[in-house]
Amino acid sequence: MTEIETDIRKAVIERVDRAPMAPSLESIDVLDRASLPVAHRQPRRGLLVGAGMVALLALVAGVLVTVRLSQDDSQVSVGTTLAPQGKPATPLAGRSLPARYGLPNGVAGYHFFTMELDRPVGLAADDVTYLPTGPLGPMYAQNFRIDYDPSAFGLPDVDGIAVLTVLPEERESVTAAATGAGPTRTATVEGHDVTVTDQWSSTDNRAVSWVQDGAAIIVTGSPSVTEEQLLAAAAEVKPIPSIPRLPPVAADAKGSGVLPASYSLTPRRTDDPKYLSIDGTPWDELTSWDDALAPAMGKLLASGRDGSDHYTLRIISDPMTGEFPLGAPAGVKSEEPIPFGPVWISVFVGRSSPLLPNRYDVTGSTPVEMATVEVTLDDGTTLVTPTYDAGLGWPGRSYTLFVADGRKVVHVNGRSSDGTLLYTRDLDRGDGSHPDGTGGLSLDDFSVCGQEEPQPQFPTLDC
Amino acid sequence: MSRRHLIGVISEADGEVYGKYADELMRFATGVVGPDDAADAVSTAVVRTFTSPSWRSVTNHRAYLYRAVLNECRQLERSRRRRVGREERDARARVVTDFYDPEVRPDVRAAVDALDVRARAVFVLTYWADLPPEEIASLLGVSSRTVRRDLDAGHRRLKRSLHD
Repeated sequence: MTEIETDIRKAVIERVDRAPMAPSLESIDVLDRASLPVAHRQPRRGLLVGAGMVALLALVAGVLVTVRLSQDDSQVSVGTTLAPQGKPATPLAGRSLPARYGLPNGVAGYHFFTMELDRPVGLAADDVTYLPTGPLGPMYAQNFRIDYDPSAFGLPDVDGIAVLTVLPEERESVTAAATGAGPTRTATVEGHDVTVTDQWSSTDNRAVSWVQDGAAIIVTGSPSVTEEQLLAAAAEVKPIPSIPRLPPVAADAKGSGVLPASYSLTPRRTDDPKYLSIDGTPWDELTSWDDALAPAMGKLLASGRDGSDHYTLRIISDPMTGEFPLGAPAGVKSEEPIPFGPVWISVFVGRSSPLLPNRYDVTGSTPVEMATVEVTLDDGTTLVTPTYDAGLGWPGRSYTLFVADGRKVVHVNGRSSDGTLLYTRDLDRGDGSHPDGTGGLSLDDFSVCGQEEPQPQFPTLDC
Repeated sequence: MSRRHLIGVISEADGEVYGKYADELMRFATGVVGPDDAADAVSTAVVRTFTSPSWRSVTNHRAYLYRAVLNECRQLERSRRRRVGREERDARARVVTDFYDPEVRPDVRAAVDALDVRARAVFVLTYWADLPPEEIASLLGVSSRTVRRDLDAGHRRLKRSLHD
């Protein structure tokens, strides 16, 4: 053991030795689960787990701010000109990228995922067209290499390549975020003078970047991707005139080739990549997966249409830990029991966020038979969202939607694909109507219309 | 009609499980989030675990509880990070300094404090429990490669912090 390790051991043991007595079982037994902090919305995090997230968080640490800001597939707006009242300024507001670039044909031998960037269910256009971009504009990562292994739950164990299109002035900071600002050298790729940036440490990425037609293109790969592989991928980069909208993830997501995915990148100061950019933009808040704006920064899981409103479902990472706890325990391996029962539905009403003061989220899990979840609000309006398979073969599905503040969720229905009512329940304030702004509420239910209960203490729903 | 799940129904068997692991979970939680929040982390994790529908089919109770506690530690850390300002953190650090072991280098102590939650958990299990990466991986539900990376990254951060 080295001297520093000896010092570390002393410091760790000192910490542990300060442990107080364990709370008595009696003191725990009187706790009311519904009174637990709202931050513990475990099943919501359960639905956040996805194989692609597992894969792509290996690329870089942090959070990528991505959103398609225009319904025109060929236009890439960086941000609105003016920030809404009370929201941070957008240094790059009004700027546009001339095009997106990516690897439309993929790379032979690897799965590819095409990311669609759009707004989640229930978010109005104004909620998404404004994003405080700080020193980094939205980045568009269209193609990912995914070596999909549903049994590999360890996040950093899957490698990948991503192509980012950013403004030229963002090139340096984005590259620094991906690589840790490692040493650089020049090379030539398809007639372009490119900069190859090595990873600063073994856990950073390598990147190849250049400026073309007014946009900076950054091809970055996780540590195991060799420079040769990265340069070969860079040679295949092409403009992408439009990003196709994806169909909802199929029940057999693994076989469909469409995988839930996430890419993450935290803006860093180029002079010292240890630190986040300090420019007044509240990155820590904005990129916190727990906040309501995070869904806009989350990644596509499925898409569809709600009346005339196109929507996408996203999975959201935890940028601080890079972890995606599944259900109550963190990091449950896929072969272990999971908290999605075959007849278990959960409804979690989130909380308002000062960052997105006009929406709160409603999330949950459902039995596999449930194709849609319908939420009725106190003004009589309904929001319908499809459930989706997170792609890991769980015996359950998940859903997420957003509800306008001021409205209360008064009823939840769940239906099969043929419209058959499988679940119906009135909610009262004790269950999870509109949150009070400081905490959300939740309920779990093991009941499904007409089915016998696996837990005898819960009566069968009379639908 | 709707209902809430009220606790108050911890079974005798669950009570035995808790009694078996309570002390080590408290030490683990203390190592990760400190003594002030450890009891909250353990209590909340235990409540959630014992009321989880999957708990009845869990075979490795110890690992499940460790992950649940780590999960609560994350939440507590996240909440604390939002709640507590820099000045308040500094004030808190000054207050508890009086109780620290003089043999521990303050800069190392501060560097360990600065690790993220998972890395700190890995450090605690490595240096306090003397567990190898494979066993830590099994306990926390991550791959051993993840554990090694956390250790490696933590060591790098520590070294850099100590050299700054």
